Amino acid sequence: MSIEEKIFRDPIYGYISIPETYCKDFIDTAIFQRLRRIEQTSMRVLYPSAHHDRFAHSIGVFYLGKLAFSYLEKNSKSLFQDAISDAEWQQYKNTFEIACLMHDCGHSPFSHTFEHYYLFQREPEIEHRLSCFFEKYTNFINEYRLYAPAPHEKISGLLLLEEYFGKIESNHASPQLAARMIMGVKYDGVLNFKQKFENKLISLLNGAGIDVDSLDYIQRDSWISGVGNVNIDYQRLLSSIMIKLDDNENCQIVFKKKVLSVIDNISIGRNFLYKWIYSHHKVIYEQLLLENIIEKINSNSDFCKKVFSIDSFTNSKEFQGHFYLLPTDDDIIHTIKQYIHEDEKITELLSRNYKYKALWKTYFEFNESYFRDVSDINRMKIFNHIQNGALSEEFGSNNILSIKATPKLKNINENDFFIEIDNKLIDASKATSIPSKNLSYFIVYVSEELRPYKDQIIKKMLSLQS
Amino acid sequence: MCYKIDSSFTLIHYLKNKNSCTIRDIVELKNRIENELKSVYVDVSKDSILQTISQYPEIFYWEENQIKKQKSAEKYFNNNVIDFFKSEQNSKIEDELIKFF
Repeated sequence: MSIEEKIFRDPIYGYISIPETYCKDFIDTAIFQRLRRIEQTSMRVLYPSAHHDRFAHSIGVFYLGKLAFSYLEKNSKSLFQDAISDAEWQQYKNTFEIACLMHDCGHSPFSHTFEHYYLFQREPEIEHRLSCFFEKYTNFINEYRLYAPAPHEKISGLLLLEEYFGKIESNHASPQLAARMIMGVKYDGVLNFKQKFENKLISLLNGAGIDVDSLDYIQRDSWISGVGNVNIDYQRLLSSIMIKLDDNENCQIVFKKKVLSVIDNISIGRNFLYKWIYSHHKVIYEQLLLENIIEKINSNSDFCKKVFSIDSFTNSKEFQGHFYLLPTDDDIIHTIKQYIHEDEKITELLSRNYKYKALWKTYFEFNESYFRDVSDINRMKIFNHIQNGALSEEFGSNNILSIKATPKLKNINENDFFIEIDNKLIDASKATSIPSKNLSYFIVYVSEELRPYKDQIIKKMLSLQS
Repeated sequence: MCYKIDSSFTLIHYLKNKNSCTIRDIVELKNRIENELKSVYVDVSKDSILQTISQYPEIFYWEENQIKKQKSAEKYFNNNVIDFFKSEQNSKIEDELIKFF
């Protein structure tokens, strides 16, 4: 029987076919459509055209997940003939595809900047609500605590179970396994074969190494911004994916050796985005501005408790005469505008006429030009002295600001996945470029009037080391 | 008010007088803190912990599901340095937080 499908045009992958039942049960729902108004990244401050949302990203992750699973099944099915039936392969496929589609459904407005508000004083309740969906005597809660999902993963997993449970089952998929995939909660302890196999599917969506989520955002963020990042041959990569048993009878994600260059490119492309874009001095300044504005609104009210609540996905929450349902970025901006006369930072945010400008803009400048001969310890001490007002007397207390910049650079970890060479499985962590050692640093911002005194400020800063 | 405590702050203070800990230890600490300090959110998600470890390789490393302190890292636990890990926000409630470590 042929499956009716709808077709979505995507600028990265071309046409994406999605079963009509998925459209009806998942995409055409208010929770999923909400993702059209959650911006994917905070990079738009740098690139005027970088306007893309978590809706398009979710469709992209579905496409890559569907492609990855079809090759995985093709390349691995014969290896597990006795262990996994055709019906089980079909259920794994449906579960993986649905998890890919829904993996970001609980993302907060402004994504990672505010996601922690959803869990504020509600962790025990969310843990309890999640545990209701797992059999009484499973190890789920222990595993959930061990794998400690990020806030948006917890909310997405819970929403999936509470709002879509019946729909997932009617699509011949497992709601519990889909929630585990979204939250990255693997089985722990002494495992049977199925649990070992399912753990690999979990890491294929939510893993530390190569997963379809990061494979999409690396390509999408690079494309939409127009930034000249690496070209990732995802088709070559995914066509060689398989799951195999290693010498210890553990399941491992394995790629053929022909994709070594693609794996290296993924590592380079990801670190490029974190180093040059997500940690750009303007991006982190604007995030701090937004955080400070929201915290000021929140300090005298229960704004965050009401609006950043999982219940706001299904019921309106009232705050000062306004009703919030399925809150998005627009709702937060609307709220901020109500306070424009109470906080000058709001005008600064809306106009993007920033009060402070960075004294240096990159790690390279910081490290090679100014702090080359300063040890890590002394860099930290200098930062502490600035935070404690060491420059205030000379340059004014409201003229200098310092922010830690923390690019999330990473390499592929040992045992994440393997490369098959002459029937042997070789750890892929050896195959990728190693990011520069610790790139943690801080950026000092000064007001316009202090810009001409850059040299004096830096000289004074360097004199603060003991 | 919601004071977000980053995992770098939690890890550096937790490991001040210990050589290693598990994510479970940190999650239990989080629960104790949040239970007593109603305006605090402690971020101990695995992502943020792994980020802290990869960001400060001179101080932490990950081995056998444990977060361990590097042998040569004692100098980072000095009072003059450890303040690097507090944020502008959590410095306001530092005294209340420190008693949990």
